[in-house]
Amino acid sequence: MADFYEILGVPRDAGLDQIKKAYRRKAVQYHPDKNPGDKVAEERFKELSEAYAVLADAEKRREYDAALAGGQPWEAPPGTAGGGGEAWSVEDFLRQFGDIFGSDFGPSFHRGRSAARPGLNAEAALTVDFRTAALGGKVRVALQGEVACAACGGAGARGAAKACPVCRGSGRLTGRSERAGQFFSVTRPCPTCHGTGLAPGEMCTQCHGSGTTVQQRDITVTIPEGTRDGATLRLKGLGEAGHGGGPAGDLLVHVSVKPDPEFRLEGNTIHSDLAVPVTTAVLGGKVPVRTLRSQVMLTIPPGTSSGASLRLKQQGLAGGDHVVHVQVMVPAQLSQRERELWEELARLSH
Amino acid sequence: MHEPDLGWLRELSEEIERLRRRYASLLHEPPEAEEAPARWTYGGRTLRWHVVVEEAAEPDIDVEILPELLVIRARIEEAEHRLLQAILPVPAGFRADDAHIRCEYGYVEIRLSRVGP
Repeated sequence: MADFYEILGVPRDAGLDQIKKAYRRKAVQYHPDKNPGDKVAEERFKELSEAYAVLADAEKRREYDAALAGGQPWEAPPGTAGGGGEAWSVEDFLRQFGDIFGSDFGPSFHRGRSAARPGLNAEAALTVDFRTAALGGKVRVALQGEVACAACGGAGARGAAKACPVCRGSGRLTGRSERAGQFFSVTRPCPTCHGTGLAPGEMCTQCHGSGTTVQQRDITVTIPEGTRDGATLRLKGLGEAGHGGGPAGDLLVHVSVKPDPEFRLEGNTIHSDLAVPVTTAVLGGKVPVRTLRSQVMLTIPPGTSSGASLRLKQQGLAGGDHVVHVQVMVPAQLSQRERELWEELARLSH
Repeated sequence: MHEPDLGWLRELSEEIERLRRRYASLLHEPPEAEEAPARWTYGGRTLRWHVVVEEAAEPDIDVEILPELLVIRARIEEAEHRLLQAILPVPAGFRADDAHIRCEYGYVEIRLSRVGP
């Protein structure tokens, strides 16, 4: 008969913790995934799993110890060897193992409802015009989300709160298994208090114990200068209310920028088209040009053709330039005198 | 053989991303928790999450069911009680309370069934 204590390397009076630690240490060493193709390691792992499955189970260990002491043969019950791979259904699991309070993960892991819990992040989609995005500005946003309940001040209870008798105020129930090498638990909201941790009769009638209510809020969002299409702005503390005194979440604003009929943006450079009369294009002159921030007079050099680019220094974003693309306008209709002059010009050109 | 519905996959991806952002503030609660890498695949009406919990033979696995998400926490004793945590959004149309969970060497697999059309 195999000596499971020897296999795990623990004394015969070892406690569960000691057995668990020894198993884990050796299981990592001999796990088949760590020793691919190594038959010896595979066999060793099977032995470890079987030894652990027996020694970690109080009843099986008692039977095994009795057989070991009496020199009797001992046969492992079916399904004793560990090894994982089995899928656990949450419903089946809870049906089998039921609900208990707390968990092995310690008090910081499953905290009671009184513990502070940060609020969730809220999200908003915002469409702004090109100039607001480029130059910055303020935009109002209407948001629906959780805010602290005005009736109970976020406490969730009427007066002195009493704990839910089912979950004892934790708001959560845990089903836990420690069999055949599986350490596994499932935590779900308490079905009696719906996760609030409060006795049903003690809950605030406005927020039903949650400490928050859903309300619409108007928030003014500051759009920073140079905001791009697709940018996300994170506004600290403007998300949903925290629970139990926890901080509020953040507001994530996803910005879409409407295209502008006049300006285009490439990097930090603004581009726009400028219609220039043919005479100015030929002889040169000054033409008013709208920029993002103001209007300037642009000097058109003599002999400027359509498609020429003229650069306005530092009139773009973040120190970038504004590039003006010249479109020379040719008159569609001519007076008699204009026609005569163009014809004369044509003769001179040939 | 089913043709993959790319429109649905895109919607699912966007919904998962939206829920991830919404619950991002919970990622480091408790503060010592480290984010465990998690990726998802979809096929045959099943959303399958794959959470990497390091090379640990048998980590303590805790699954917390919340209305819109599953929180998977793995305490690894061999690594001085490191706590790895993954927040898995449960998009509308999937059932969190009917999750199937499988613990394997180094990872946890969660399968969620689609209940909607």
